[in-house]
Amino acid sequence: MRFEDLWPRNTASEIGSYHFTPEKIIEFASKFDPQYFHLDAERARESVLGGLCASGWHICSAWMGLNVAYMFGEFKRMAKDGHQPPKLGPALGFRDLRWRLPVFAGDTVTYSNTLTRTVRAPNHADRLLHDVTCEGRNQDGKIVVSFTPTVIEFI
Amino acid sequence: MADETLYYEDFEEGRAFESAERTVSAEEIIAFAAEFDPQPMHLDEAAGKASILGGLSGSGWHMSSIAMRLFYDSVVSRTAGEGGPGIDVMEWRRPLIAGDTVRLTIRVKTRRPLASRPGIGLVTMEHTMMNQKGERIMRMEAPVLIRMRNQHSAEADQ
Repeated sequence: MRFEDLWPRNTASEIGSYHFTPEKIIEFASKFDPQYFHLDAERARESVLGGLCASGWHICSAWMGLNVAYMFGEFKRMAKDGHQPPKLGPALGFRDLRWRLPVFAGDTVTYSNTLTRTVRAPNHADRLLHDVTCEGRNQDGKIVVSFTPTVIEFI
Repeated sequence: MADETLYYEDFEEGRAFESAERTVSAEEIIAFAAEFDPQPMHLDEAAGKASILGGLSGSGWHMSSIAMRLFYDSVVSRTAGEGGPGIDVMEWRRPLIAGDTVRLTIRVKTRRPLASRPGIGLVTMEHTMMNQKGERIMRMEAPVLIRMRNQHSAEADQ
């Protein structure tokens, strides 16, 4: 199977939801992003963000957890149907990441992935580079985050 | 004067900040991956060695989160910042391998006052993470909103 069988082109696939509890927000922030509005609910209320909210890196890491679980589930399904899963390389990074709205304690974010662009890798005839536009929406349907990772596929 | 608050005016184009060093253990790589990126090369030494990455390697999101902490400790914690709207470009150039000692260099690329928010400027910085071998393992460009010490700096800048 190919990458495009996993992520149909220009079609959003929902990969799952993550519930941001205050405990999870504070645990992540105390390790990686100890700005007060990620740690202290009382002080956060007086910040420009208006309340205790998740680190942007927590919002993205939560996406990755769901992305891996979704992909592994699909790989299992492909194997069960007698198909080889696509051969993917390590991620190269991403671009155009925007944290559009704060994710507050108690929010649930639902993420989706859309394959938007594919090019042949320069200098490697056996590789494709795929751009996947990823989005997270809160429980009100508002986009809170969007970004576009690039994924290598060996063909 | 390292303990004085930094404002927009202090982020001249080209100015660089250096983080402290940080050694990343196998345990923390595995703990992060178990929660957020449970792929075999981030969870298991043997699987990492067998992969293209050549060892137990940290998730790109873990590397990014470590960069955030190094950026916080060296710059954000003493800056009149108003948060960052996002990341323009992130490049995971080489793997972060268990036991690596990394540090971050943050360099001011461009800056401009925000017309929409008087007294605040947008400073775009380039972050480079190096390992103990001097290899550049991560590079990113990201804007941050920073308050001005003096609102009239905006005019002086133009």
